[in-house]
Amino acid sequence: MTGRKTQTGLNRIMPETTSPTTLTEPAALPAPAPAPPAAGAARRVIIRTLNLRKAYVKGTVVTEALRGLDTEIHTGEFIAIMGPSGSGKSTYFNMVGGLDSPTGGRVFIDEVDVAQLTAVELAFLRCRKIGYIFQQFNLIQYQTALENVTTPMAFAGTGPDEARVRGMELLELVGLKERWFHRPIEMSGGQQQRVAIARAMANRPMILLCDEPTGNLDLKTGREVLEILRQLNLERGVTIICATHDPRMLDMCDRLMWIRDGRIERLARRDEVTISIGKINNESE
Amino acid sequence: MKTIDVKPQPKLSLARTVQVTLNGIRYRMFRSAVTMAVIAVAVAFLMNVMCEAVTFRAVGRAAIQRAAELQLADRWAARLSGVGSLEVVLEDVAAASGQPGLAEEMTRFGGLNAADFPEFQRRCGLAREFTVFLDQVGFARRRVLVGETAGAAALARLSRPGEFAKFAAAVKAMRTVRLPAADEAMADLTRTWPETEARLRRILAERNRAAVVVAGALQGRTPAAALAGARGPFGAAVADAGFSSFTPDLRARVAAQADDALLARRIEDLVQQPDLRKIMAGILDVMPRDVNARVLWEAMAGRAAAEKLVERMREKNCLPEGATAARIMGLARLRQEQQDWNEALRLTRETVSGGGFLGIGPRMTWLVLVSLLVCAVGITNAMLMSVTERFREIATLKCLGALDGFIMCLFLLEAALLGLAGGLVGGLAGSVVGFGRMAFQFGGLLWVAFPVGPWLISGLLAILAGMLLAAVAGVYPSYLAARLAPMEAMRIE
Repeated sequence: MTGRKTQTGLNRIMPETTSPTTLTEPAALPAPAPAPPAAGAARRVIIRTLNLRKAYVKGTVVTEALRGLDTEIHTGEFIAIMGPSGSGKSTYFNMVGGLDSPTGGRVFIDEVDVAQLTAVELAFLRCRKIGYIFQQFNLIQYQTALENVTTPMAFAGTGPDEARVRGMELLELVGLKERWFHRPIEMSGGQQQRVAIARAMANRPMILLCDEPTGNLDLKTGREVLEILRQLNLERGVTIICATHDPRMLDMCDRLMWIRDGRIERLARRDEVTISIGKINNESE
Repeated sequence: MKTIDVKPQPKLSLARTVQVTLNGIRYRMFRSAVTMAVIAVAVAFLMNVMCEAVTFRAVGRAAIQRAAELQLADRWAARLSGVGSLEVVLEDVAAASGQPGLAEEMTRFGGLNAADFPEFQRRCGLAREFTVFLDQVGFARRRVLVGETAGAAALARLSRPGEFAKFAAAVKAMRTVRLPAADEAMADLTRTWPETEARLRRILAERNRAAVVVAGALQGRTPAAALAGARGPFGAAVADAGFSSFTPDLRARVAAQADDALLARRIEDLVQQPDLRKIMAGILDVMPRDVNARVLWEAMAGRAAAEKLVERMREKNCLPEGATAARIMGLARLRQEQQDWNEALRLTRETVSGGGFLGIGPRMTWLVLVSLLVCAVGITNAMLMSVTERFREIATLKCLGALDGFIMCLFLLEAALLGLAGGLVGGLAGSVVGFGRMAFQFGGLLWVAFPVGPWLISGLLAILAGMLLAAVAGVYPSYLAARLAPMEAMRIE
């Protein structure tokens, strides 16, 4: 892994989010989902869904997007979620990210029942506990790279001077320190996504939710983005939940989850899955 | 189940919000400029109307004052000749508050107590407004309202039992006609009119008696000629006869004016003589029979013509005493000014006495309101487009931890800032157009009577109106933006 060299630098930036366990055993894979959380003392469950259901009502038509999902995701995991469009993947994402409320079942983020939170507390959760990375990057077009990165810090109440220093460190981390004053329109897709990653990390979240982070990128820049994500996962123990179709992503992740028709179709550890060229086990594309 | 500390989000400072808003506006410059233009046009219309209204008022007030000022000598001459009507006395009493000494004189002439004078004056003021109203209401309507009578006679007619009720009913039937005061005040005026009229008649009689006393001091001159010497013993004689308002300061002004009038009259007479008429025709380049006072004074406003006239008069040895080219020019200009003020008075009469918002009348008020409404709809539309266009951005901000209040604030601020900018631009544009039109209408009089204070207040009002309008129009779009679900950010078009 590439992380070893920059490890001390990263520790200096965000010491508190880097748990000792992930540092000493970076390659350790989590136990498969059905295993009890006690399997690793330091690996607590960070996201738990219990019989998660979501139905959308449009007029008289009721669409059941999720039909009882039970999942457990542990700290420091890198989990890839796969599934055809309309499978409920996005809905699961919204639930786990605290962006939408379920119609049935429960979502716990870091042991907190999301349904119990007020709008303001949800904003707090989104601001500090979760970082979002979108397929379309979703950078604020009229802000420079640095302003984009420091905006969530402003929402968290960080002073402008501290935000500037930390923003520059984050930009350095994604390799864009020299381009801090550029606006999104002046950057390539890969660079924009790297800024988006720096922005997602602004308030030292525990969870990174990535929605097809490489979907709009070519092979080379996609790889750079993935490497940064993997690096964050290994060195800071950030839990990464990633919806993807990218086979390289499958290569990097700890666990894979297939969703179809609002149910978990398959859940597997990386080493249980065989990947063949152009075709992935059980996944017809 | 363990709970982690989830605290409420801190609120973002206003300065930071403004900064984000300004960045957003700058980024969408063209769209913002168009929105601003919509506001600017509406505010410009409002400002234009307000500018014209305040100008009309200011010029009208100045015209009334100035006309009274310019007619000072004429009025005194009329007073001393013993001619006068109830309407003239009414006007004098109504104007008494502006002139020191006049109130005291009227009180004495009318045999009133000093304490009763304010009430008497109030009634006379209302009566005067009523006579102006009758002048303006038009012949056909006046006939329906008060028959063939006018002025004080109309009031006398209305004071008869039962007449006022008929009159009030007739006014009500004419929807667009508005009395200068409420019905009760008008009824009170007509009821007490016989008493008021008696007072006015007494003042008139006393004045005429004093004029008879003054006649002894005229020494064969006409009152107009005698007033030219009002600085001397004649002025004192007038004051002694009972006109206590004829103070030394007033005497000086009246004397100067009377002097000017005499000279003007002499010159006009001279020019009517055949040989001078020919000379004048040569100077003015017209046929001799076309030489009259009007063309004379129009020509005399120019220095060359005035100098030529003085020169020819000197040659003919008929130059009036004290006549110089500069003075003749001054007389011509004064005459011109008098005409301008009279014209202004005619133009502004209705506005000065008219009611409604700023005296602009109900139709204009309605037009302004409609224009503002159209503008509000335009802003709402523009802001709605701005919001829908920025769905993803808003949702992303919410994913990053923005509170609903912040988003709401962002868009309300954007609307208000656009309103402020539009208000400033519109206020300026409306002022330029409004005062431009008014300068065209009133010429130099506008600058003499320029309503600086009212203009600034209207400008402030217009800008405020623009801002408020934009903010109010922005409420719904902002609410829409604030309510947007953060998961919209995940949506892929």
